[in-house]
Amino acid sequence: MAVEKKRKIKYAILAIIFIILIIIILKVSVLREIIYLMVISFLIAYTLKPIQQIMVNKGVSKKISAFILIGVLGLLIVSIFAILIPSLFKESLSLNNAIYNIQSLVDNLYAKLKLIQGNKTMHALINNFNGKIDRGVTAVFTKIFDSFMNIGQNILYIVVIPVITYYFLSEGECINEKVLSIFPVKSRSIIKNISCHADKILGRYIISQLMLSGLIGIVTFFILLILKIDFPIILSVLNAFFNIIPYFGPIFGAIPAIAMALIKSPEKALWTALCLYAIQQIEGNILSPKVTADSISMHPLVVILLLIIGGEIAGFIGMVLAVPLGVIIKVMYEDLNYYMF
Amino acid sequence: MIFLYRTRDFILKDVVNLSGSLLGFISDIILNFSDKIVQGFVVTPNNLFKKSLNVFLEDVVSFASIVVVTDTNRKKLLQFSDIKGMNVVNRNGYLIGIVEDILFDKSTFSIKAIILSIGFINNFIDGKKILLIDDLILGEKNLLYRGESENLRFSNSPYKLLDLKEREKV
Repeated sequence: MAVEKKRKIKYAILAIIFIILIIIILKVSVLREIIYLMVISFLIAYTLKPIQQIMVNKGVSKKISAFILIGVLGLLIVSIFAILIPSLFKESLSLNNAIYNIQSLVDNLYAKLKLIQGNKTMHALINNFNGKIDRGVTAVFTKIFDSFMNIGQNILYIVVIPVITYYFLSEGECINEKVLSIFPVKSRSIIKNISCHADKILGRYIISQLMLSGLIGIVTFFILLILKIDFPIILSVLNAFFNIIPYFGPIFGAIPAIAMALIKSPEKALWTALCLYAIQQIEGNILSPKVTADSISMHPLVVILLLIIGGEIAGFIGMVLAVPLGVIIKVMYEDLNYYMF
Repeated sequence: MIFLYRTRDFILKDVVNLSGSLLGFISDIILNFSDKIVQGFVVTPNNLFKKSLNVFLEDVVSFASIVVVTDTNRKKLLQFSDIKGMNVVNRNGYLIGIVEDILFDKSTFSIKAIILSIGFINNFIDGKKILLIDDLILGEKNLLYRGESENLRFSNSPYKLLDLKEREKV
């Protein structure tokens, strides 16, 4: 009985320490910010790791490859800001025109349909519709502007994140060993195995997702170029970016492109929709099931459910992180199931 | 004393050929149910556009943390994932459990028994069932258990939760 009692006390003490730690982290803003920084840099480093692994296999040393990767990523982000912001402002002017066009199209339609002209409900509905479009566009632009302001405010992040990411990439193993030493000796090997297994599957998932996104981006760019739709670069980058989300991504990504085409002519919109639908079908039915299901060995239905849950809980970020988290939980369950029995 | 392996002892291990290049990792195990033996492994390549490979036990040089092999092939063979999740019924047609894992010998790789899951929570309370392979017949949809008496029963319990060692001390 004495042993039983001792064990209970031990667990109680552990639980209390754990709760106190969580409360401290939630209350102290400095700690919270540091953890936030660490998590972001870890995520960046983790996404870059498969690419770094390829470079290391080719014979580049770990430190140099980490340096090159972060340099390229930084350059990419800076160039996006340098090119995207001016063109974004330029486009915001023509976007206003486009919205005006859509509204006049609706008005024309309204004028043509004599049947509903005297109808007060229809009139109210159309007014409502116009107001909604206006509000939506303004909201999007204020949001973009606000996020730029936020980035400007947190200069610390911009400076520190690349440095932390570099250390995660170049000395990840050493850091892993140190983190592992927090855990008790008995469970250390199990934790190491679980993280190793999760790492193997996640690495495949990330590479597959990056590859698919790149492919979709390039194909979309050419299609938009051939159809002569405005802003092909931004629209294709947007489509590629949304492709990080499996299954649902291409649908979100296609909407802005189709809207842009609709401004020019309904015929073009139809073509764009058809082409993007074709890409989405090829990607979603041939490539994606092969790639996602093979790389993480999960049923497509489970992936869709995970995405819906992630979207409900945390929006876009939730959708991006849902599948990786699901993979980690699955690996943990399988491994614990193995080690406990 | 017999030492037994489970499938998880091999799954996700890296596979390397003799010249040292990485072929992929083990994703499944190839069974020969009529001879009751493990024939080899299914290797999933790291390159996403390559098809999975089979490795036979004869071609395996060593099993450490990395498996070294000399030869691979691409035949279609019975894999463990084909029977995982199958129902096991007894002679009266009652469901006994669902196939979850196999136990095979460490040196001869002959399959000794099959581990059955009897429910997500019941596994922790009662332990998983273990049925000897000689009492089982593989069908199209189900496995038939034709064991006679239940005088001798094997099971697999979560040892950490029960804390058997500490209880013995008391």
